[in-house]
Amino acid sequence: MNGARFADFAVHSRFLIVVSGIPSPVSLVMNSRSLPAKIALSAAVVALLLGVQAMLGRYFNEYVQQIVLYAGINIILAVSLNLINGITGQFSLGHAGFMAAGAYSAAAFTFYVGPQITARFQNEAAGSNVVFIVALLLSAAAAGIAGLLVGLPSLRLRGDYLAIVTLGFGQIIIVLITNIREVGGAAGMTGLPLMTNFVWVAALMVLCVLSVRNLAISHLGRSMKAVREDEVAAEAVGVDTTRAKVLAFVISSMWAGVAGALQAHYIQSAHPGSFTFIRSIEVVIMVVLGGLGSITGAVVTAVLLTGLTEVLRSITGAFAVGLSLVLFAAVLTLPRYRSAMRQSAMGWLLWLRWPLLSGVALVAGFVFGRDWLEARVAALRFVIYALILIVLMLLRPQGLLGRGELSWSSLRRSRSATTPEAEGASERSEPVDEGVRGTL
Amino acid sequence: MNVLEFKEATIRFGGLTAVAPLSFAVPRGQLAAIIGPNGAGKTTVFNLITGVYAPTGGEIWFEGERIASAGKSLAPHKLAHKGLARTFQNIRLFGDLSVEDNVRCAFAGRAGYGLASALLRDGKQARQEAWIAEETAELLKLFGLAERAHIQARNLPYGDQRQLEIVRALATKPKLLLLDEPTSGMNPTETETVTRLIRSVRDQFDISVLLIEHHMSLVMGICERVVVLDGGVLLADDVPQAVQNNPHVVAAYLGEPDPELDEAIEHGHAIA
Ligand SMILES: Nc1ncnc2c1ncn2[C@@H]1O[C@H](COP(=O)(O)OP(=O)(O)O)[C@@H](O)[C@H]1O
Ligand SMILES: [Mg+2]
Repeated sequence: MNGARFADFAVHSRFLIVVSGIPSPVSLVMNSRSLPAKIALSAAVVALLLGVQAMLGRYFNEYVQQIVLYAGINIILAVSLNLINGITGQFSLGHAGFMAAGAYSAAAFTFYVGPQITARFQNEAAGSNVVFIVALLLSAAAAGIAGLLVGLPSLRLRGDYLAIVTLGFGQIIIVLITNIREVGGAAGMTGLPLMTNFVWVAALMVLCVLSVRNLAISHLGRSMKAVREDEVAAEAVGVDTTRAKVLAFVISSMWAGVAGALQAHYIQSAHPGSFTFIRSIEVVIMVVLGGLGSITGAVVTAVLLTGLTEVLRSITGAFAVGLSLVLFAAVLTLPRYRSAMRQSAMGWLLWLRWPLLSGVALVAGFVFGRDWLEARVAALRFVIYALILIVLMLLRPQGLLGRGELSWSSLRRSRSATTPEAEGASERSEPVDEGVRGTL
Repeated sequence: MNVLEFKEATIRFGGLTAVAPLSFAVPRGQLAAIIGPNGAGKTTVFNLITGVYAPTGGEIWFEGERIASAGKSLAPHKLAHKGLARTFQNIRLFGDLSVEDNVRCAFAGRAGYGLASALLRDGKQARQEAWIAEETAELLKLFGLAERAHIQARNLPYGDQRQLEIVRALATKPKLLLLDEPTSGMNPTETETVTRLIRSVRDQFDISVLLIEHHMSLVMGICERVVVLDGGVLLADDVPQAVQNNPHVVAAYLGEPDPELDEAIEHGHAIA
C-alpha cells in the first residue's frame, strides 16, 4: 500500500469508528459524566419505557407481555448472580433463597401495611406506587441483610463450602416461610396487589445491569476479579478479599430480593414452591451458559432461557428445541472433522454419526412416544436444560461469550483491530476474540 | 532506622520448627538477601513478614510498628497498605486478567473512591481511574511491558511474567519489596537483566529490597547484606565477602558435616 492510499484508508476507518460510536440511549446514560445529563437521560429512558409499555399493552396479548416481564426478572437474577459466581469466582447456590427473602418481606408489607398507606393518598395510583417503592426497598434490605448474615461467616471458606452453605440457607428459608402462618405457610401468600408492570421491571433491570457493570469496571470490581484469580496474590497487593466477597454477595442478594418482590407482585402471590433449589439452579445455568463473568452473556441467556421455557410448554416446541440442539452441536463439531472429511467420505460419516443418531432418536421419540412425552412435558424441560448444559460445556466450556462483553466500545475496538495498519498498529494491538473482547 | 526487624520470631508447624527464634534487621534503603538450601525456611520468613502466617513466638516490626507477635498478625492486605509488597516463588499473577489490569489491581489500597462513586461512576471515580491508568501505563513503560498491556497475563513469556509480578508489587507503592527467587527458572541472560533491574528499582523507587536467591553471583554482585538460613536457624548475617568466607556457610553449601550447625538446628538457636 503506498503512502497516499494508506492515509486515505486511515481516514476512512476513522470515519467507520465514529459512525459505530453513535450510542444507544442506555450507553449514553452509562457513559455520561455529569449528574444533570444522567438525570435527563434517565428521564428520557423512563419516558421511552412508558411508550414501550403503552405499545405492549396495545399490540401484544397478555401472554407476550408476561414473557417479556419474566425475561426482565430473569435478567436481574442472572446478572446479579454473575457478580458472585462469575466476577468474584465464588459459587452460590442460594439465589432463590434471597429472592424468597425479598419476595416475602415485600409481600408482607404490601399486604398488611400497604392498604393503610394507600388510604392516606388522594390519588390511589400515587399511593400504590409509594407503597411499591417502599416494598422494593424493603425487599432489597431484607435480602441484603440475609446475604450479609450468610456471607460474613461463610465467605472465609473456599468455593465448595460456600456452595453447601448457600444451599443450606435456601432450604432454611423454605422451611421458615412454610412455617410462618402470617405469610400463608405451605399454601403461600395470595391476594397480593398487582404492582409490577413493564416499566418497573425494565427500569430496575437497567439499574441492575448498570450497577453491576459500573461495579465491575471500578477498583472494587477489579478486586473481585483478583479474588477470583488468586486470593493469596490479591491479599498481597492490598485487596481486602473478605470485604470484596461480602460486597459482591450483599449487592447480588439485594438484586435477587428485588427480583423476588417484582415476581410476587406480578403473579400476585408468593409461594415456597417458587423459590426452591431448582430456581437457584435455573439462574446458575443462565450464568454458566452465558459465560461466567460476562454481563452481556448473562443478559442474553436469561432472555433465551425464558423463551425456551415457553417453547418447552408444548411437545412440538420440545422437539424443535431438540433438533436445533443437534444441529447446533453438529455445526460446533464441524471443524474437528474437517481434515478427515477432506480425506474420505468416511469423514462425513464420522462427523455426522452422533447428530444422525440423536436426530433419529428424536424423531422416533416424537413419532412413537408422543402421548407418553406429552404427559411429561414439564419434566422434559429439565432434561433439555441438562442436555443444553452438557452440549455447551463439552463444545464451548467458557460459555457463549466467555468473559467478553458486547458493547459499543468493543465493537469499535474490533473494527479498528481489523484494520491495524490504519491505526498505526501501535496501542491497539490487543487480540480480538471474534469481535467480543473482554472488557471485564 | 530499620525498615524491618525480627525479634526472636519463630514459627512451628506441628512438630516442625520451620523458623527457629530468629533475629535480624533490614536498615532502610538496604538491598539484602536471604540465602540457604531448599527447605531452610526462607519463604516461610516472607510469609511471616507479609502476614500469611502468624508467628508462634517473638515479634516482627515494620517501620517502627509491631506488625506481628505470638499468634497474632495484621492481615496481608493491611500490611500491603502499610508498604509491604512481595512476589512469589511460584508466579501468582491474575492469569485471566490483562497485564494492565494485573497492575491496576494493586491500587486497591490507594484507589481513593468508594462504593457510591463506583456505582454512580461520578467525577471522582473518573479522576481516580484516570490517575490509576496513568500510573499503570508509566510503570509498564518503565519495564518495557507497555506493548503487551492488553495481553492476558497467562499468555506472557515466562520472563515477562516474573517482571510483571515485580511491577504489580511496585504499584502498591511499597517501602519494602520482598522478592522470592526472582530469577528462578531463568537463563543467564535473563538473570543478568533481572539483576540490573532489581538494583535500578531500589535506586529509582527509593525503597528497601529483601530478596531470596539461589544464584550466588547475583547475591554477591548486588546485595549489601546476606542473611543465611539453614534448617530454620540463622547461620550468618553479614556483608557478602564475610559470608562467602564463613566456614559454616561453606560447609552448608558444600554439603559437608557441621556438628555445630546440627547442634544449633536441634536446639533451635542461631549460630552467629
Ligand atoms: N504451611 C506449612 N505447613 C507445614 N509445613 C510447612 C508449611 N510451610 C512451610 N513448611 C515447611 O517449612 C520448611 C521451610 O519451607 P520454606 O520456607 O518453603 O523453605 P525455602 O527456604 O525453600 O523457601 C519446609 O520443611 C516446609 O516443608
Ligand atoms: Mg522457598
